[in-house]
Amino acid sequence: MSDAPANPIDAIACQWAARLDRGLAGEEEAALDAWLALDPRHRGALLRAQAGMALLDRCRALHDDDAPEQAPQDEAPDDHARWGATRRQALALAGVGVAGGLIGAAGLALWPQGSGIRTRIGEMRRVPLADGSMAVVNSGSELNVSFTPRRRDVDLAQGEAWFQVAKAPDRPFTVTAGRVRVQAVGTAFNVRRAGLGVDVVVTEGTVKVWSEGGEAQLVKAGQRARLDDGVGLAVSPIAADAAQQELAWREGQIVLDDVTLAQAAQRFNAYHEDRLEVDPALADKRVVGSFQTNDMDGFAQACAAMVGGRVERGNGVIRILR
Amino acid sequence: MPAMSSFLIGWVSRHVLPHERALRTWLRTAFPAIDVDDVIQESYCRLAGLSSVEHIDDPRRYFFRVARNIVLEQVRRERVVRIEAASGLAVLEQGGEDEECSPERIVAGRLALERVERLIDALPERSRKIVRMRKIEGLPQREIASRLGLSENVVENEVARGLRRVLDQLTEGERAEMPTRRRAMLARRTRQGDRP
Repeated sequence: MSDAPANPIDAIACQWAARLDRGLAGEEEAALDAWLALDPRHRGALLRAQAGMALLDRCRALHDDDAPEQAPQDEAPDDHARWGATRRQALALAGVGVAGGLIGAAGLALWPQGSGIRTRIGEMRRVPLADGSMAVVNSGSELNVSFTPRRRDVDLAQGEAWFQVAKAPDRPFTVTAGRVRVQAVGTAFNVRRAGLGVDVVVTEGTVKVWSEGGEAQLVKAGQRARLDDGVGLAVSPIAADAAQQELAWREGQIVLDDVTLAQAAQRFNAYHEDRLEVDPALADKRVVGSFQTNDMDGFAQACAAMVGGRVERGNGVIRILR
Repeated sequence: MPAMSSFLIGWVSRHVLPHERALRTWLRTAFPAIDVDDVIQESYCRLAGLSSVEHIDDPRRYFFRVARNIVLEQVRRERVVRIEAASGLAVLEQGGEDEECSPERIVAGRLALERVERLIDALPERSRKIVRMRKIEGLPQREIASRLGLSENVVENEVARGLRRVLDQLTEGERAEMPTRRRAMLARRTRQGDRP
């Protein structure tokens, strides 16, 4: 551990604890009072430091009596929590490409060629495709897969899917989403349809994206291409953690990063037959969190706690009320 | 401002500080994105405001509750706090109530103090020497300074630095217990006939 104070308040508090321990000189008392008055947290930090000093003092007792010493217990370094945090950060840094590797395909048969894939509301399916590619299909989506020796065509009729495309340079992999085409050779990307809009997020490699009658644009990992109704295709960068959050659905998670409660409820409702409704008085409150897509109840409760509301249930509706 | 009551300091040293590490672990697990240092600091701040501790039967639980309430208040104030909702609320209700038999429960016991002493022994040489002279042998600061040919200021700084390191390690793990120190410790223990 370095000597750089992780927390300057603690370092100063320890300094004061050492001074108090040897007795304060007159002018130091005023200085201590001034420091304590500066920030209410200083008093807490000083209490902690003085308690630590008292603990050191009590060590003397170990040497003051002749009671047989117990064997000190070996405590395992309590590192797992920190390790967990580090691992999470590492995953976030490694970007969403890694997540694809985590998706297990155990027990899944290869999807027959030239067929449709449809997921119910609340269902998310990992579908290995015949060419070795993988499609992860989000709740309430419909996909039609048509592979020939020359081409690999997927039509996203509705909803959202993430594709990890097996490399096959002479056999392009093309996803059609309404008027938008996304073409890849070997790469990974996500396509979402919402109404007439289409949103493509590239997580690995480069894809070619065009809208019917428009020019093709190259979209690279770390970029998104968006087609809103009636507006041309717009390519913009997307931060790795934002991409990670948007694709959390593949792991059964919804990540909300400072969105309104109304938007959060809408995201959640895409996964459930039950409806989540939000009191209009609370609709604009902002929430942050990461949630299991299948835990609507937990989500409602957490949101209620965040915005100071309460939860009411009945008739397939969960309401967050003021 | 009145000095901190020595009774409160003793109570925190016996019944609160030894649980800080477990509290940090719990906070990190239950609320992955909160600023744990901030919540811990705020918790001690509340404890510093206590006028009596007689009503507190279970200090560990109390400490966890205080921290939990601080997290909830932050959430309500709509500060940016991420909740793992999947388990967040359930954990919230159980906060600090498990681990009934964890070694940290035996707070005022010998084992806890022995752990502190091991942390003292793991300090860098000068700091270790000074902290031992000051805290275990109970020598006045002035005497330590003259014995070691150092200024009183240096002695005081080493005590402060040593205290901070011991606190850091007591509450965050045993990262800096150097292998060489460990060996020295084992040798010492063996001499005392505690362990083969």
